[in-house]
Amino acid sequence: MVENMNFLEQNTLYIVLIISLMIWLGIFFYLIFVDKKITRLEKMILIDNPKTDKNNSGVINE
Amino acid sequence: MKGLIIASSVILGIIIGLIPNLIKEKPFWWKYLIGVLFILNLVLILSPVLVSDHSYANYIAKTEIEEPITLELKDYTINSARDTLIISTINYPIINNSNYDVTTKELIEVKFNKQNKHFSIIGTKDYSIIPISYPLILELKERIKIMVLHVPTAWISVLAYLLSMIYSVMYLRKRDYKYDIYAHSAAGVGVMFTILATVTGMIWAKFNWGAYWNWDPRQTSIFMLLIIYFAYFGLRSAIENSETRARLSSVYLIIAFTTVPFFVFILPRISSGLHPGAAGEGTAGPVLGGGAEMLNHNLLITFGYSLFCFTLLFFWILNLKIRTELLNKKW
Repeated sequence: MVENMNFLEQNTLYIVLIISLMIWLGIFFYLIFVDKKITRLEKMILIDNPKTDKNNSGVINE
Repeated sequence: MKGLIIASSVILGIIIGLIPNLIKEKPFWWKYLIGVLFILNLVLILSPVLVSDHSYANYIAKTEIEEPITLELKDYTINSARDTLIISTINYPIINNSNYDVTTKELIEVKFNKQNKHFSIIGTKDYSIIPISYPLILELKERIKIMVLHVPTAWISVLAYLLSMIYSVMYLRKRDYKYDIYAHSAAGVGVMFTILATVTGMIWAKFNWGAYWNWDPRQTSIFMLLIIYFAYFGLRSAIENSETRARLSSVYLIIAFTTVPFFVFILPRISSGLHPGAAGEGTAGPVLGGGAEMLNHNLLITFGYSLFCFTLLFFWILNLKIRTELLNKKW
């Protein structure tokens, strides 16, 4: 652990890399979360209105 | 070669980005592929060391700049009597005063001594977790890596505006509201990427040019582009009738896109300014210009790869935006 901290202190760009990766992973999992929520809503609308799609130019599950 | 790599990155990104199509949920493997590709992108951008090529070393010595640079030991011999490295393509001797062991190393850190006209070895280096290097330019140093993130966001916004123009034309031809939704969504995502390009550029400008905003032609032109597309959203919100709104918005987006190539690619190159590629520099910039300079082979491939990743990310965000707008419409 101490060796890793010394390595990071001498090569500070890897700290930037770790932070950038954490930010990207945060954004990525948020996009996955939003995607799943939208899919759930689309399925709800399809269940409520099964005929909605035909005239609506292929919105859900063409 | 440069154009081929950049063009193929964008085209491949568009082809994969449209799997299965623009509005259906993306497959599981597609989403996680983007996650992995972007992680690799960040590692590729940030971890390589910066190395000067030998012609840059000669330039440093000729201009007597006494700043450390890293050199790759290619084709060298050791003059053991004087502990001097001779690299055939570097016109000045490299003196190993501090007896660094260079026999197993590939990279050395050197500093030019203008009094004695030689390079002194001040350390040795290893390649990072990835055994590639990017060019060291003393005015930029590590900031050169920002280019691989900043430029793709600007180019992706052009792609977004192009898509918004195409869907606007399709709406005017077919009068199907879905095209209006696609155009509106693409314009929204385009504005988001334009803001990202502007903000990342401002941060870079602060460290390179001393101020966040310099009214450089490229900064001014991207600001004009933002105003044009912000006005689009103002126009949409001002019209209640949906058919009129869709029609006028479509016409506006078509006309707005005619300004995009001028503001993004032409105006910054015909005006003198701080950005690389401005008038009077003799090149079209590090990305579109013909010379190697800022963009060596490794950095070019990383740039193309980053452009590919950003294109995929754009299509995912656009997909989410369109599906949200369509859900809103249904509700």
